[in-house]
This record gives sequence, C-alpha cells and structure tokens, in this order.
Amino acid sequence: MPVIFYVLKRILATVPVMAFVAIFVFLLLRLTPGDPAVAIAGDQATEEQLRQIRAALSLDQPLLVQFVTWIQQIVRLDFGKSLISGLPVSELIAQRLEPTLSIALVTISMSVLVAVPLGVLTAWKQGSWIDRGAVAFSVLGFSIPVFVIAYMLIQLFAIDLRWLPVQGFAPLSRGLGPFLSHAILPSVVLSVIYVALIARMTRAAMLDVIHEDFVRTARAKGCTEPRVLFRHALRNAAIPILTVVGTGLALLISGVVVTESVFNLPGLGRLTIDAVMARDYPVIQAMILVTSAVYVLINLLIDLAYSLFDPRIKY
Amino acid sequence: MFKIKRLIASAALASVTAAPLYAETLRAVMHSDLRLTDPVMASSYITRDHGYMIYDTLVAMDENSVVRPQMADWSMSDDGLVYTFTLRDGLKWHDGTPVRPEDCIASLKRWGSRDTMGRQMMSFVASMEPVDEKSFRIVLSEPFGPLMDTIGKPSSLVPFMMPERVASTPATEAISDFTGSGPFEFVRDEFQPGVKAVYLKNEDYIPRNEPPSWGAGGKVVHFDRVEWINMPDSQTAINALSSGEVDFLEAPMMDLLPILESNPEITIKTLNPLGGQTLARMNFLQPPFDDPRLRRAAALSFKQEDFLLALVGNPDLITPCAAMMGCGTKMDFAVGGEKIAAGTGQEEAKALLKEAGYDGTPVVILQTTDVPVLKTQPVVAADALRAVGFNVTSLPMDWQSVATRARNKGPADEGGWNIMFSYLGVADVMNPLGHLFMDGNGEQGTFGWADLPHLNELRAEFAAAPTEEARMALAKEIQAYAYEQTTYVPLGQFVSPSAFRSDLEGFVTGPAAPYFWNVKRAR
Amino acid sequence: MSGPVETALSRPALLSVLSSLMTGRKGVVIGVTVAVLFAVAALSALAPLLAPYDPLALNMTARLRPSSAEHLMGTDAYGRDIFSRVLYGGRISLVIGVGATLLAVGTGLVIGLVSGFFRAADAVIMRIMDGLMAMPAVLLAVAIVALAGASVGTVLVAITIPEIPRVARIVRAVILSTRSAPFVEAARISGTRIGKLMWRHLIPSTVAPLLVQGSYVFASAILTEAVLSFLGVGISPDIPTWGNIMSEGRMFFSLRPGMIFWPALILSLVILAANMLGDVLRDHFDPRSKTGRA
Repeated sequence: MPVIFYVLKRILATVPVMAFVAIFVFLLLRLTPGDPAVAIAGDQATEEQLRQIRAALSLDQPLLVQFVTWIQQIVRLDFGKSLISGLPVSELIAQRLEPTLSIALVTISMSVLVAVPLGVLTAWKQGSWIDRGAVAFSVLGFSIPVFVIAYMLIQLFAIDLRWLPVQGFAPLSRGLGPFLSHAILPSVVLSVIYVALIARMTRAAMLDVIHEDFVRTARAKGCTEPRVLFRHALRNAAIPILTVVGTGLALLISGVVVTESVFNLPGLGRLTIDAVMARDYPVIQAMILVTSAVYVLINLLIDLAYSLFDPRIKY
Repeated sequence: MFKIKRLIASAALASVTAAPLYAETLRAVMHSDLRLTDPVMASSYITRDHGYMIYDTLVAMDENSVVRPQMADWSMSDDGLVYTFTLRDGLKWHDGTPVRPEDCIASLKRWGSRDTMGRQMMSFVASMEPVDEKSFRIVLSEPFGPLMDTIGKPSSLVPFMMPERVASTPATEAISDFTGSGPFEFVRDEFQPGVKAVYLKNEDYIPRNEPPSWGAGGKVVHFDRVEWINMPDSQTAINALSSGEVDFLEAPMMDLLPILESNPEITIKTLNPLGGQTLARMNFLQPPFDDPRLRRAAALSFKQEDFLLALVGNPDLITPCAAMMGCGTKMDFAVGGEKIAAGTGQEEAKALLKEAGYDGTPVVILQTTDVPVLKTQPVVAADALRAVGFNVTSLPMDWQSVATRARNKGPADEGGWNIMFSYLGVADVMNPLGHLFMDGNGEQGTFGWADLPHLNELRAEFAAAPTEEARMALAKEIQAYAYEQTTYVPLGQFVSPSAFRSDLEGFVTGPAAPYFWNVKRAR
Repeated sequence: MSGPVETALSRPALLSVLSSLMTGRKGVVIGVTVAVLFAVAALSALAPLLAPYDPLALNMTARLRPSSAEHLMGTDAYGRDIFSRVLYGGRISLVIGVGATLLAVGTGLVIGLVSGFFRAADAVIMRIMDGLMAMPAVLLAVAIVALAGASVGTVLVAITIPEIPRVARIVRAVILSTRSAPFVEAARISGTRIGKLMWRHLIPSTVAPLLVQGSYVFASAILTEAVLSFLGVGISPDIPTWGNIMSEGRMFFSLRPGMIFWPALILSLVILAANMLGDVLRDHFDPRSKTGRA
C-alpha cells in the first residue's frame, strides 16, 4: 500500500483516539470532587451566590448538554474560556507553548546526541569498564529525583559560580545567549533521565542485532567498525530507540511539572496542574486534547519511520 | 499622509519597546499567583492585593484603626442616619473619564451584595443617591454604628471603586474590564495567570498630601512598572532573590529565613504587623460535634503553640492568642480562651469526653495536602485529638476538594466532615460582624452551620450600639459566648515577614501589605 | 526450533540455568544485588523492631534537627525522626514499586501480545493505548487520586495506568519484528497453535525488553509516588514513604539537605540493584549475545 494511503488511514484513526480521550477526560473531571464555583467565590459566598455562579458558567446544565456544547466548540476549534481567569483557553496555551517546546526540543536533541553514541559504544564494548561505568551512570541518573539534581546544579552553576540565572525562561526573541543560558540547566536536568533511558534502550537494541549475520557479513566485507556499528547495526536497532525517543518527546511536550516548578518555567505542565487543582475544566480539557493530538502525531511519525529503518515491516 | 502615520506608529512602537530598558521595574514574588481578577467576586488575598494596585477606595483605615478620607471626605448627620460623601478634585478613571458619584454608588452596591459586613450594612441602607457632580449620600433606615469601619475595611472584601459600566456586572459574574482609578494600571496583554501579572504606573494619579499609613494617605508611586512573578517553588524564589533576579518576596518560607538573614544584600521585615490567625472549624450538624461538650473537648485538646510551631517554626514570629478578634487589635480579649492559648486543657478535655459519653464516633478531618499554610494543622490536630481519646479519621485531599466538601452538610461518612482548618488575615477577624466564623445563622450561614440565635442577637446589638464603649462590651460578650459554644477554635496568631533587596526602601505596612506605592530604590 | 530461550523456560532447564547463573562474575552481581534488595526489604519489614522512634510521633520542640546520635538522620518539620520514617517508608515505597511493576508489565504484556499478534485487534487496542498514553501521566494520576481518594491502592493504580501503554508498545514493537522472523513463520506454517506459538516463540522474545522496561517502571513508580506527594495528592503526608519524606525535605533543601539525601540514597541503591539485576538476567537470557560471543 502506498505510504499516502497509510498516512490517511492513520489520520482517520486519530478520530477514535481523540474521541476516547475526550470522553474519558470529560467524565473523569466531572466525577472528580471539587466545584469551580467554590474556587472562584471563596469562603464568603452564600449557597445562593454559588448557585448563580454555577448558572453563569453553565455548570448547572446536565452532563450530556455540557459535553455536547463542548464538542461543538471543539469542532469549531474554540476551546472556550478559563473558568478562573476568564481568559480564552487558546491564549493561555499559546502563552505557555514556546517555553515548553523550547525545553523539549533542546532536551531531546541533547539526549539523543549523547545517549545514542553512548549506547552503541557500550553495546560494542559490552562487559568492559566503559559499559559498566555507563550503565551505572545511567541507572544512577534515573534513580535520583529530578529536584535533587536540579537543586544541586542550581546551587553550583547559578548560586556559587553565578554563571547562569537561577530561574525563568527567555524567549528566543531575546537572543540566543539569554535563551540558552536559561534553557541549559532545565534541559540538562531533564536530559539525565532521557540519556539514561535512551542509552539503555540503544544498548539493549544494539545487543539484539550486533551479532546477527548481516553485521558479521558487513564486517567480513571489510567495512570499518564505526561504519558497521552506525550504518548497519544501529539502523536495524532503530525501532525500540525511536519508540523511546518519540514517547519521550511527547512526554516533554505534555509538560514536566516538577522541573517547570523548580526552574520557574511558564510551561504547559504547570498550566495543566494548576488547572486541575482549581478545577478549571475548559483548560484541562483543552490541554488534554492538544497534548493528545501532539502525541498522536508523533506516533504517526514514529510508525512511518519504522518502515524507513526496518525493511522487514511493510504497510 | 499614510506614510507619516506609519512613521509615527513605528516611532511609537519603538519607544514602547525601548521603554522597559530605562524604566524602573520592581519584580515581586507574591504569596500566591493571581488568577481571579475580580476583587469583589473573589475573596482570595492575592485578588485583594491586585485590587489595591489598580483601584482606589472611598476611605481607608490608617495604622491607628482610624478611618481617613481617600477618594472622598464625608460627614454624618446628627441622627446618624445620613452620610454624605464628597469626592476630591481630579479623580479620573484610567480611561481618562472623571469619577462620578454614580460610579461609587454602583460599586458599593455590587460589593454590598458580596461582602459579609457589606451585606449587613446594606440591610440598614434605605437609599444611596447622588447629590451633585461631586457628592452622594447614603441614607440609613436605622443607625448602623460601624458604617465607616465597614466602608473603610482594609481587607477582603474591600469596597474598591469601579466605573459604573463595570460595577453593574452581576456580583456572581467576573468583570473583564479592568478600568480603575488606582495608582497603577493593569496590563491585560501581559497577564499570564500562573506566571505573571504586570502593572504600569498610572501617570494621571493624584496622590493625597498626607503621608501614607496602611491603605490611607498619599499613594506616591516611584516605579514605572511592577511585575508580580509567580514562583511555585519556595526554594527557587529564595535563590532568585539572592541572585537579584527578583527584588521582593512577600512570604518566603519561614524556616528558610535564617539563610536570607545572613545575606547583607537582603532585608527582612514584617510588613503586615497584624499577621494571620489559623483556626479550626467544626461541623455543628453532625455527630460527634453536634454536642457542644465534645466541641469544647476538641478545642481544649489543642495546644496553640504546637500548631504555630508546625506552621511557622520560628518562635519569634508566633503568638499564642486567645482573642478571637485578634491580638493587637481594638478588641483583644482573652475571655473564654485562656486554656486553649496556654495549651493546658487536655485533662478537662478528657473529663468532658467522659461526661458527654463519647461513643467513639470517628472525627473526620478534612486534611489539605497541597497548600503550605493549611497542611500542617490537620497533622497536629489528629495527634492532639487522639491523645485525649477521640477516634480520628484523616481524609487527605487537595484544597479544592476540601473547600467543596466543607459545603456538604451530610453525615461525615457520606461525603461530609467534622472538622476542618483554615487561615484568615487578622484584619478579617478584627470585627465580629465581618468574622466569617462568628455567625449564628445555622444552615444559612458559613459552613459548619452554627445555629446560635443568641449569638445573632448579640451581633445585632453590636451593630446598633451607639458608642465605642458599648461595642467593646458587646464584643467581649460575643467572644465569651462563642467560646462557650465553640463556634470555632483560634489556633494562634503569627506574622509572616517579607524579604527584599536591601536597596529598596519606604515599604508601607498594613493589613493588605505589600502596597507598592511609596517604595523606591535607594540611589 | 529449540534455542536457549525455549530451554530456559522449561522446568528442569530452569534449574540448570539458575545454577549456571550463580557462577562467575554474574553470580557475584546477582548475589550482591539480591542481597541489597533483600536487606532493604528486611529492614522495612522489621521497621517496628528497628525504628528508635514512632514514625508518626510529633515533637514540636525538636524540629529540623541535623543528624546526631539521638536522631541518625535528623528530624523533619514536625520533629519526627527521619531514620524511623525512612525505615517505615520503605514498606509503602517498595509495595508501590513492586506492585506497579507487576501490574504494568502483566497488563502491558497481554495487551501488547494481543495487539502485536492479532492485526484485527491491533488498531482498536493501540488507539486506546495511544489515548491513554497521550494524556499526561501526572495529570491522569492527580485526577484519579482526587477522584478515588488518596490511599495506597488508588496511588498504585494511578501510577500503573500510564505505564501500561509504554509496556504494551514495546512488547508490540518486538512482536512486530519477531512475528516475521523465519522461525516464527516456520512454526506458523507448520500449524502450531496460537497459544503455543506465543508461549514458545513470542513471549520469550519479549523477556529481555520487559526486564529492562520493568526495572524502569519500578524506578519510575517509586519516583512518581514522590511527585504525587510533591503536588500534594499523594498518599497521606502522615504516612511515611520515601517520596513523602523527600518532598517534605524539598522545602528545606538548603537548610537540611539530609532530609532528601538519606531517602534518595536508599532509593537509588534499591533502583540500582534492581536494574543491575535486570541487566544481568537480560544478558543471560538473550540467545544471541551468548551464542555470538566468541
């Protein structure tokens, strides 16, 4: 089947995914205790005033009516307004998009650049001290809580050495220098986990192929060792690596709330968690749908890439 | 022609983008982030502080608890039934239009339908009408003694003045037009809920000539721009202050103050001398706390000092305090709460438990887990209640779930509750009429639903009392009765110092501090 | 087709594998890691006997003490002994780590197998997995915990659900590339029943990636529990878990780094041990890495 049909089929297949997400989230939120009207009006509000607030926000409508109204809005690409701040949800998301995307892309690029060669190296030298050292490092990397690493790096680079700012985000429009100086620490902190994860997966996947016949053949034909490893073996080990990288990127885009809090990054993770805590339904629903869409898209790309990397899989 | 316009436009744009480089900016981290922007609809303190930035008040209370003119001066008729307010000259809204009496009346009406004290005041008001272009009057059906204290109340909800078109929004719908007449203007386009709020100096604001005192006096602004930056992580906020990335922390975590104290570039100062009162409220409708003896027993099991230490840590910042209306206020009485403040009531509590024949009905505690100022009390309380013989069930949940569940009147094991914890600024408890947990309105009143007609009678007498002495005597009686019935349990008072870069000076203190006028950077 | 994998899973062979595992350098690694895991589990299980203090007892006059002979790891903001809390905390944290791993790997394996093998079910299942996975894990966990109330059970489920699709996807990816392998094709053509095919050929090929992924789930479950505590929706803050102790210590990091350091140290040790164990087993079970090594 030509790839274009496959892509079309997959895009159509996103409709049920999104529908599942929409229904799931809507029900989960409405069944969760917590009343946005109380969040808005506070202790002093009388029962009558709470009732009026609910009415003004259409929260007193039957669930089905609310759901249909919401879906109708979504179809028109209107995410509604925040119950709490009254601002359009699309504006709230737009405000947070750049920090999140920036950190996600910097993190994932850094991780891949470090982790894939490391994984290949450790598979090649399986059992050597490099292998052992790298495995121990990667394991340590994801067993230390993110905030511990973050605080240690902040203490060293921002407070003691004063090389970097302790917090905040600088948009690219302020120049590459400020952008990187703000993005580097959070990205390094997040990379620790992703380097560990991707390197492990690379090592494992490489070990699966490194002793296969085609690798031996390539070697026998006189290919140089790097060429054997990166050109032949890595290509065939790419599927699990791609899966980890892709899901990692999707996770980073959906927001990394702890890192965002520690570095005070105005990202999507905090927007979502703050909205959950305040029961700001339209924001939560929109965020879920948007991150789901991003995720689905990334997965489509991964699946397409599968066929590029592994000729054994055909569509 | 078109070209020239464009030139002007681009020049204007250039000056706008260049401005922040030269302008004086103050970067502040407040105690919480601004989300709700309607200070009449929302009672959160950050929304009140936002109100003080962009709105002004008719009158304001000074540091001696005396109400002073701010936007308006006033006079009272001899029978105490007619108050006439006269607006001072030069008052303008941010859009340049003059402030009219009609605006003030609409603002008072909207506020009067929401605020606890405002609602009581409005029940005495026969009419509010403009007199001329500069003045209006409030006519009462019978005398309401604390009228000026009500209109001049310094904390939530503050009667901020808004243009009539804004104030005519129903009080149950949030406003979306942020036009005020205060010393700052709100920059709507830069507002990012959860991230930052930005205010620009209102160049047209004419401050009064008197020196500032609390919310009263001249509000002279020395910064062109004030940014409120939200930092959810207390450690990050302290780091940012130390490195100079922000200038001001309203409420640094108190256990971390010693770190800041050793830094000469940072000054620590208490800007809100009244501080806060933490408290417990019990549910009058459900067992075991439908029995006043068991409510009293629970109250007596508490040691204020334990609650305060868990919450604040630093012994210098805490005051065990029996006064329901706050220590250091006009109505600072110990009557009825001596043992709770001293923490010596445990034996009496055990005896009361026995006397009331406590049958082991579990006490359901709503345990807030995500708000630092509310999360320690349930832990300490569970320990104290168990120690005197109560059977305790703690239900950990986030604050929104607590706030919602606190409104459930049902049995504790069917979605209801028995005891929950809160925190109020002392400015919000210093008057028995405005005190959220001192009403006797039963199911119509504040959650907890204390049905105490006698308490309401005392409050009505207080409202009608003609003299300060009479009001004081009644307030004392109200407190004694409230303790007898345990309408709520004060768990002690504490102040929360602010920390700022040492080159800042001139902070005005007060119950809604920080105020951002009068502050300047020393040269 | 009888590779080492297949023999490894039949009973008598398993014994010989176990004995072969216990020899050489591998034996040392396995011995040490198992010993560490058992030691931590034993310390947690015996907490009531070992803990010098009641982990819940408040003592407001002894807040935030540094390490001393009296309090080995110092005290927290309520004056509770951190050493005692770390001992007790191991119980819940280990239960959550082990529980989430078993739940996630078990469920994910079944879903991944079904999806990888039955192309008809694949589309539907993977779309639901995509949907579950697309939702930010922490938000999902927060919402579930808020909905069902914060108990060990709900936190466990809340942590597990977002992990399942990850396991399922990896299993499916492996199955997709294995099912077209010549030995599987051969087995299919020769009429092997599906159940047997899976048990003999497909499940063994997932063992290696699952051991790797399982160790990751274990680590991530214990850390997610900490994040939930950090966001204020974890297991009740009174109940000690390593996550709870660390999230509380987080506020006092510059004052008392020990509050994070000690639980983090033990947590890291446990995860390190679990992962090294997983790696050794993986290397051992992997047919190619053995036959291929000259």
